[in-house]
Amino acid sequence: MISVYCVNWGTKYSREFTTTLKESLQEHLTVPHKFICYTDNPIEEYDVPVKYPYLRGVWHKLALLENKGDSLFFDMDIKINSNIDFLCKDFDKFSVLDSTPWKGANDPTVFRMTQNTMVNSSVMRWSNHAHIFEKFQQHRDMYLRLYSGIDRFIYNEEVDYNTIQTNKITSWLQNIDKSAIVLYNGKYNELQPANN
Amino acid sequence: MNYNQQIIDVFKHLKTIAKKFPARLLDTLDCFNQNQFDCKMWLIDSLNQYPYHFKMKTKNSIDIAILGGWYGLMAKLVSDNFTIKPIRNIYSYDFDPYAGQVGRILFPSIEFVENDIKDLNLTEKSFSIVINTSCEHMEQEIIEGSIASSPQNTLFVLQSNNYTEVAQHVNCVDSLEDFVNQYTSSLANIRSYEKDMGKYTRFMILGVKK
Repeated sequence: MISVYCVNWGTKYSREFTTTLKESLQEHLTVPHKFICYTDNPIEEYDVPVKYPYLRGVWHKLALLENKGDSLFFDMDIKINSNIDFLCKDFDKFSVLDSTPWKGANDPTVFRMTQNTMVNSSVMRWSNHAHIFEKFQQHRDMYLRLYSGIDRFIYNEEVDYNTIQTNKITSWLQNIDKSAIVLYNGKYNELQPANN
Repeated sequence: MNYNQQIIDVFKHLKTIAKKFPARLLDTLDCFNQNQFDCKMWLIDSLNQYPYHFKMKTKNSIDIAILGGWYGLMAKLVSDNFTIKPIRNIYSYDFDPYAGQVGRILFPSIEFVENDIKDLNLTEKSFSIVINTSCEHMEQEIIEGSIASSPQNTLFVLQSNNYTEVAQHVNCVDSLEDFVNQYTSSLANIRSYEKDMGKYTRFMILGVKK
């Protein structure tokens, strides 16, 4: 049995996003799994209150790494179109997505100055990686000052990560909408930017 | 803007930072924003008017510690504008290893120390004044620990705010009264101030370790 996590914090995503994700997983993930949603508004039996109420938005995703055991995470703003059992391997490494395919070339100076990132954490996979969150907690204030999200933290702070090697996960920014998982990364930012 | 040697020097320093520490350039520019400057000058104006300098009366010059000093702006402004006593040493403490490396480019006269405040023992340091303008960024037990580890009569200057929307702010207070109440057991002769910053209110207290 693997654990499948999501985070719904704040008002950016309605409850409907969580139920849609849960139903998609029931349909497209045949590997036995338990669905868990970390939230500041627990209602359903699968909801768990966020453990660190002082954290905001995406930083709750990083706190999930405290949970041990074979685990997957999915952002709210994804669409699962077909079977995703291919993700259920290599849990021994902390894995995220490679955002190179939709980010394209960057000016290296601007990239470095803005502490940009070439990884994306819309999908994460891990088993025993609590040390990554411990590293963040050690100097939390500095990381929150330097990075606008966990992707930048993971990429710029020498976190030992792997990228999930697959062409079955794409971004809407690539104008591909039939892959197994499509990320709608950034699409909903204008709705509630404060909750990113 | 009238260009003078100081402005030329600032641009020279920023160019050095851009070359040596490009990932810290924007963060360096952030530390010089108007609010940062205004709140720090407000602190120094209040400090210069604080009447209870018990310990300082016995010394010709004093040592000052800045906790969570970032790139050293607070230390530099205190160094240039504090008028009560000559300053012998001023130390800017921060756990960020780059704070000192960047800060020494900007303010070579400041002593930067890489040290986590929660591991800092102020007992042996004999600072006359300890300044912490980042209380909203720190767990309360860390701030109380810094006071507890300081000798009696150390003057503490603390700032916080009610700006809960910022991700880094893990220890905001709702009001000046709440801020004062956090320290009535550990500090005496407390003077308290507040400053309207538009989106939020900044609070400040000065008090002597009991």
